Amino acid sequence: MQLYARPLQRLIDALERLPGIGPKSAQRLALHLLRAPADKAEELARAILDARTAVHQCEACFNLSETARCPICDDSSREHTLLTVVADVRDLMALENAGDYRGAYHVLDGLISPMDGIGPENLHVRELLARLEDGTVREVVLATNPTVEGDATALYLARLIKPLGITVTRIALGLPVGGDLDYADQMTILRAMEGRTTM
Amino acid sequence: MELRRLQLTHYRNYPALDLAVGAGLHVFSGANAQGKTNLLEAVYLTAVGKSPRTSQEGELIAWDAELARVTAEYASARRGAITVEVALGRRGAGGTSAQKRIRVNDTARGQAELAGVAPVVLFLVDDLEIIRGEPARRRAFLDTDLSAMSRTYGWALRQYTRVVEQRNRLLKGMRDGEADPAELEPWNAQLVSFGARVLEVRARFVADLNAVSGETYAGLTASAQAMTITYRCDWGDPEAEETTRDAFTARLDAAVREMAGEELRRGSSLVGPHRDDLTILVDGKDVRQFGSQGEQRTAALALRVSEFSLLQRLFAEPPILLLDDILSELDRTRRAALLAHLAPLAQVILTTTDVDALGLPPHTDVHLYHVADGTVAPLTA
Repeated sequence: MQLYARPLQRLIDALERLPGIGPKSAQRLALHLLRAPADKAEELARAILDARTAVHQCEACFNLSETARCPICDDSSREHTLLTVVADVRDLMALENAGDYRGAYHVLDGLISPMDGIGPENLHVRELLARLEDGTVREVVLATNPTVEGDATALYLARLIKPLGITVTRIALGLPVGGDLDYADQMTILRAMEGRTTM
Repeated sequence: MELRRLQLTHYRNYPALDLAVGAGLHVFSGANAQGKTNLLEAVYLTAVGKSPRTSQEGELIAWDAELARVTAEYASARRGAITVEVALGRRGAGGTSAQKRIRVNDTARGQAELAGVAPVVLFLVDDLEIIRGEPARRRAFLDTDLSAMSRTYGWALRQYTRVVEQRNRLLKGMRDGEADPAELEPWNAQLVSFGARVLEVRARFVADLNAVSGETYAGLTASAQAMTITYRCDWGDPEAEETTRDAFTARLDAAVREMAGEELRRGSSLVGPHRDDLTILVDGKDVRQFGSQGEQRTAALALRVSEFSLLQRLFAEPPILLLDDILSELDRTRRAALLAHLAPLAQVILTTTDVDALGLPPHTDVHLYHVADGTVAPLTA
């Protein structure tokens, strides 16, 4: 049974392959694009193509960038002695949106996970070590998620970086700011107690 | 802890059920395949968050429905009224998997957060396999119980299991020359830290279990026979006796180093709590190898009754006892002894095909029900 005109079906199928979009949303989006003025659809199509051709990975930190080096790497007012390692560009954006961090980044593009066939050689680890060679960076902050894979990646990197004489730190795990101890889940409380600091 | 009311909608073979329950001994009888066990399963589902029978949760939804709902109203002596609702929606037409939503007192909760909300102890005919079966069955007994008691145990166990899976994969890769040995260290560190957490809790639980199980076994058999349970690790220093987290950390760490070569050859993690076992001794002999069928069955019952005692102490009130057709496996004397022992302790909900053969204890608050084709009718005793 041919439910939709062939080009429409193609559009729905393409939209459905996007993350977070189910069959119903795909159908709604496709119909919306058909009904909207022609220039709206063209604008979207162009935006997708432009973004695909113009945006690359920064050659230093693997952030997404229009230029060979991203604006963060090129910003001389930032502290390039401090380098934060994240798994994903989304994590970098989360840290940037917090606004307070003034150091540089390094995006690994994943976490070590043998079950998924991802080892250190599949991540930007070699490039990270190369960046550390010139002695500019004095502290590396490991900001991978507190999961089994995130911790494994952090432990692996710490073992490689410490012998270079660079300070290696791990972001703190614990209670959400402004949260009540009363309402925190037990695992969070457990890790917060273990990570307690001297006052 | 008491179940006060159970409501089922499109649950297995129950189109709709609204059952008021109170204190005492509740006996659900009927022929096979009428839905007796489904009732116990539904109670267990609201208490633990999953079925004891299947991991395919779509099976819990009536075949001609898309959505099933189980609501249980509990009364706790310490915490007042507690309502747990579990809703299951079928994923895809005719699918065997389901989306599950749990609400406690009208607030959404995760499955792990049900730990301790409504403590129950479930007795199954299959419990005999805890005694007779492979070591994995005994570890599952520990893990199911401990996860129901402590959310942090469940969390540590899930992390540990994930580490072992990742590590096994890496060891195979190393054996086949695809991965670098330097990648192993982070997994060793996590195996040791999560493993020590799991071991510490298991060892304490076995010690607690042991403190009550000797007496329980003797009580069930009206004899002087004692049952003892020991936790057995076949890796690391066999002389090690300390059961603190630090002691387990040191022991695991040393064993991981010592076994490195063998693990690489086998491409598998050979050290840690996923390799452990329980040894259950009755009068000094291993009941798994040398016990009679009767002794093995009694040992399985004694484990559950001991579990009841521990939960009662932990939550400061008796958990609900759910007995699924276990009495038919016992002779008349043992049956009467068990019921006489359990009935005064807690609310008991049991299923049977033959009420007359039960040998119901006199002077107890007994409620009889007849189950037929997804309906429940009260009987007068």
